[in-house]
Amino acid sequence: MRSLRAAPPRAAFSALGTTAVLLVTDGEALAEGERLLRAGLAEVDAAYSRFREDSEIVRLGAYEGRAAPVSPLLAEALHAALRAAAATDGLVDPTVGQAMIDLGYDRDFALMDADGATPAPRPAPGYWRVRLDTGTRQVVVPRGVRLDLGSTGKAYAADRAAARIAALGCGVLVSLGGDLATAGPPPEGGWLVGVGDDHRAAAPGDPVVTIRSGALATSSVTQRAWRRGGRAVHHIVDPRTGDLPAPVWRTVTVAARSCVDANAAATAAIVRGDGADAWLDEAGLPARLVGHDGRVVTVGGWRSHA
Amino acid sequence: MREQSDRHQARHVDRRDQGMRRQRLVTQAAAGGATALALLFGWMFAQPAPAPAAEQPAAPAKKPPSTKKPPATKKPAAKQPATGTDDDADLKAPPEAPVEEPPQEEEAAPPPDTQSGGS
Repeated sequence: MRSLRAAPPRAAFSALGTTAVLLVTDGEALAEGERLLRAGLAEVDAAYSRFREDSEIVRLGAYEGRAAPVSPLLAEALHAALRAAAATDGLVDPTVGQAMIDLGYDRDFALMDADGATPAPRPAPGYWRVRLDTGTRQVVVPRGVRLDLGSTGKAYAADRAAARIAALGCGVLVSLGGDLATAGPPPEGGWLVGVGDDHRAAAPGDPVVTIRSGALATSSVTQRAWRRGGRAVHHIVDPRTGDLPAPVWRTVTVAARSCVDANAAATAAIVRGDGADAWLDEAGLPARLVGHDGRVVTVGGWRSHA
Repeated sequence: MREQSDRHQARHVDRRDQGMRRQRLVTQAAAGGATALALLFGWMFAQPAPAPAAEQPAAPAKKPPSTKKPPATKKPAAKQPATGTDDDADLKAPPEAPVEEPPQEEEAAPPPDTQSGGS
């Protein structure tokens, strides 16, 4: 069945320091869909890139604990991040910005130094200290707290873009660095998605799953890794310590209704370590977890052939 | 003995003593007057306002305004304070779980539409 299936029209380009992929069910919508996706990602970059001095989220620092007005896009992205933080008991926390900087992730990944010293890790200040009023679109970020929407920011951008492009009247899949959101009707047979450590290329033995709706996100410590203070570090930080989480899970893929939820659950599972499989199962989230020792665990109704 | 005590008592009132006595009298009189004036003014301002000239129907006895009941103290939140995330902080499951495709021979299997993985 899979071999008879025609691949959906596709566009791919670099954005937000990763790869953006757009799939649509109607080839005529591809060009306009790509235009919408590029425009949406440019807005996202201007609103909450941590690496642009002129981005809105960086300029929040100038308010030094006073209420700051934010754009609708940043307000929504912050809301998504704070909600994800609350839903994961703070395991995915947007106040880890300083911890990321301390680990050396203070510029675009492609421009990072090979190695360097790191200060002693400190716990993240805590998402509950950020006060967001979505009605008046004002946010209070305590003095010295640096926000990083890296975890949920891309996922929110994927959800937002997919919904906008689906308004053209077709089925859509938007993938940003392997975190993907769907909207509209799926193609016949569903969307075929390879699942593995790296979103850029499938490895032999990587499973392929079919999804018809919702979203799928993968967090992995095998990508965006570097050396700092003489040890290998990566981009997933445990907010409770400000340091790397215990090495239990290497890669976690989660399906959820939205990409933000899928991404938050996958990242939280990496941070949680032991017991993450039971936590995902209890939450009813289909997931595939791969341990550092290579063992694969599927939970929450993920139908596996392994 | 008597001669000795008489010697220490004033035998005459000179003009200086008279002046001092007069001054004491004036001071005492002024203090008395001030007290009387204070009492008088106190009494005047303590008088109730005069009743209105026109006769009015007797108003029903007005219930004294009750002290406003303070709002009940809110039960402290069990969770962290609100941060704009009060709505539904649960991660939602997808409508359908992903289904893994059965493994196929590499030559027969077309590539997937896209790849989910670490980035």
